[in-house]
Order: sequence, then structure tokens, then C-alpha cells
Amino acid sequence: MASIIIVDDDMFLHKVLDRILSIGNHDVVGHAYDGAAAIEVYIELNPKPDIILMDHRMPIMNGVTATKEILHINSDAKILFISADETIKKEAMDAGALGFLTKPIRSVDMFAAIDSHLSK
Amino acid sequence: MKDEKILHSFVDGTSDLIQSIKKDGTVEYVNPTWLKTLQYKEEELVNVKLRDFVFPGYLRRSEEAISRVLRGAIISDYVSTFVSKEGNPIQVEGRLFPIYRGKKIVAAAGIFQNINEQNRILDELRHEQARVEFLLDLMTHDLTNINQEIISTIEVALYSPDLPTNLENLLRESLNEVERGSNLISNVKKLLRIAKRAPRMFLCDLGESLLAAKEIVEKSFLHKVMILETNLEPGLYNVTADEYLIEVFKSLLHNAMKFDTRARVQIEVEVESMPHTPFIKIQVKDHGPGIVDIEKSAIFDQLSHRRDSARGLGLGLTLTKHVLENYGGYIRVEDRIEGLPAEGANFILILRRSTEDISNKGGNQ
Repeated sequence: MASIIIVDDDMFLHKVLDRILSIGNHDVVGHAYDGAAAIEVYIELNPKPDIILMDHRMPIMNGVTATKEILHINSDAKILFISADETIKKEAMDAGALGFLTKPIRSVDMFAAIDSHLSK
Repeated sequence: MKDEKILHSFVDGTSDLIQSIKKDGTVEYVNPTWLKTLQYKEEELVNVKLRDFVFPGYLRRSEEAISRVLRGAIISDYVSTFVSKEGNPIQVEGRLFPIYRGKKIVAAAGIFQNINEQNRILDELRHEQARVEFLLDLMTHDLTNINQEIISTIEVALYSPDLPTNLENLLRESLNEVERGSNLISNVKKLLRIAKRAPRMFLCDLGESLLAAKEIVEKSFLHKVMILETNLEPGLYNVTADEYLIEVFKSLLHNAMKFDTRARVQIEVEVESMPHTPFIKIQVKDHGPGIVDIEKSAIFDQLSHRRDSARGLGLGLTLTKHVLENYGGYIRVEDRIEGLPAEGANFILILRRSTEDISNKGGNQ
């Protein structure tokens, strides 16, 4: 079981991911709808989440920038991208993301990725 | 005399701007199109110099170009902006060359095209292309997000413990259809990227690409088993390709798995060097419903053909064709057993071996 923050500007996706993740026995501990809010949520959370599921294309601050900022605060933060923008995969990995899942993704693949990164 | 009249007709009738500039910078001759475009009258030319009709930002370059021409040079890629008497900019491109009287250069002649309209159309095209690309990107991005929501919602429903079998089947079919739509969007995006980018090819191991594609495709068919028989092993053949090589194998293996209704899907991949050529022939044979003759060529061109058969492939084969053509190869489809299309398809790919591979291992394996 992992504690997870969902960062995505799509509110409906938060709802369905929340349910899917709870089915996979994971615990969603925070929600953010843009990159800047993700940093705030991350700073405020204590204990820190095991995984941050990060979208890229969001208002105010994108996922890559938010990743750099969060990793600057805590280099141990585990950030897993879930994005429709396959072209930013390299940028996301260079920024320090642990993995990149291209939307749309099935829950079984998401659970496998979470498990794999938890064990690292 | 007759020749001179013909020459005058050409010079007077052309849509090009023709001019001749003397060594002192004054205008020796301009043709009617020049006068009309720059809005001068012939009698006004007496006092007109280069600086009067060349846009200030281009004046130094133009003076240097004319100076070179007056020393004997020919400049065939001259680009400048003129300014009409009323101040309208006119973009021109053309050729400068010396005019001789005897052996002496007396003037610098120029023949130019007015490219204002051409540049305006190019600007409009660029603007429209950027707008279409922006809208397409926005649409595909948002559609992908919507598909993600639908897939996740269906999955939530599928996790319900008391789901009746008929409803579960319906939901699974819906899930497959949404994923088909997503594949279509993904393939359109890939096609656009292939069309836009400059090629960045590198050495790719054909066997490794096949295995990577197999692994990905197997994940999409958890209730089926892929029985892949092949003589293609990693390290055997290298081709000059890019990351889309895996997409080629993915597309073919995915189709084979999808259209073969059996739980154990048999696929044969045979590879051989084509004697005395730098090409490799790859045959991907499936045991699915096959492709009837009338559809064999149209199947790779779904952008222009709309078909009603069972093989609605979401542009997968169109993408495959584009990718292979980018590598200098091609693809065609035949019957696995000649004359019996219902026994399965044989996709034949021709790819060029990398020169490095040929020099290391010889032309024929």
C-alpha cells in the first residue's frame, strides 16, 4: 500500500483515480490541480507521500517544473508521471521523475508501476 | 533589328523587374514592370539613386553586391527589399550580373521577382499550419484525457464483485473500443511527428525490436497467449532506423493477436537477407481471418480509404507504411498460403540493412 498525491488539472480524473487507487489498496493523501498547488500540498503533508502521480500540462505551473521544485525540496520524493504528452517523457525523466506512464493507462499497469517504484 | 524588337518585347512584357545601375549609382535603365511596381515615372529616374529605392536595412548589402558585380561577379541569390516612391516595401529576389561594353564593365544589371505575394502566402500558410497544429494538439490531448476517464470509470465498474456476466462482457467490449479510439489518436500523433521532424536514424537491432514489441503486445492481451516462432534473434540483423521500428512490429503483432479469435495465437516471423542486395526480407505470418485481394493494397492507406471489413486498425498499418518508407523500405501483404486468404495474412517487409552491419557481417547471411 502506498500513500499517493494526485496532481492533475482534470477534476473528474481525480475522482476516478481516487477510486481505482483505493481498489488497489492505495491511499490518496492529497490532491492538487496544478504544479504550484502540488508543491504546497507536498510541503504541508507530513509524513510525506510515497508517490506523487504527476500530470504535465496544467495551468499556473506544469508538471516538469513542479517536479524540479519538489525534488529541490526533497531529493527523495518519488514522482511518477501520468501524461498524454509522450513528447515530454525525456524532459520529465531528466527533471528527476522515476517513471513515465502514457495516458490512457489501465489500472493494472498503473499498479505495477507504483509497486515497482515503491520497492526502489 | 528584328532580334532587338523581340528582346524589347520580352523586357517590356515580363512580370520581372529589370534594372541597370551605372557605376556612379544612378539608374541607367528599368523596364515598365519596375516602374509600375516602384511607382516611378520614366522622367523621374534621372535623379533616382540606389538609396532612393532600396530599403535602408538592405542598402549596405546592395551597394556591396553591386560593387562586386561591377568588378565582374555574378550574384544569383540576391535578396533585397525595395521601397516604392510612396513608401511601400517590395521584397525581391533574383540575379545581378555585369553589363559589358567591349571588354569594359559599365553597369550592374538585375532581374528580380517581386516575392511580396509569395511571402504573404507563405506567412499565411505558416500561421494556418501553426493554428491547425495547436488545435490538433489540444484536441488529441483532451480526447486522451477523456478516454483515460472513460477507461478508469469502466475499470471501477469492472472491479464490482457482483457484476452480471453479460454486463461485464459489455463493459470489456466498451473498454476495448475506447482503447481502439486511443490507439487511433496515438497513431495520428505519431504520424504527425514523423511527417514534421528531421530524421534521426541510428543503428537498431531487429531482433531486440521484435522482442520489445512482443512484450508490449502481450500485455494488451492478458487472456491470450502469443506463440511466436522466429529465426530472428537479437544480434543477427541491424538496420538504420529509429524508435518507431518497434511500432512496426507492435502494429503487426497486435493485429495478429486481435484478429485471431483463438486463445493461443500462432505467429511466424521469418527473416532472410536478399542475396546480392543490401535488403532484408521479413515475413510476419498470422493465422487470423486474412485479407481479401481487393483490400490488400488499400489496407496501408486508411487516410484515403474507408473500409468496412473487420480489420479496422486505427491507422496502425498506415503508420507502419510511413515508418518503413522513411527508412527506405516498404511493406506489402500476401496470403499466408497463396490463394487461400482465409488462412491468414503474410506481411512482407523489406528493410535496408545498415551499412555497418553489412561490412561487419558480409552481404549474405
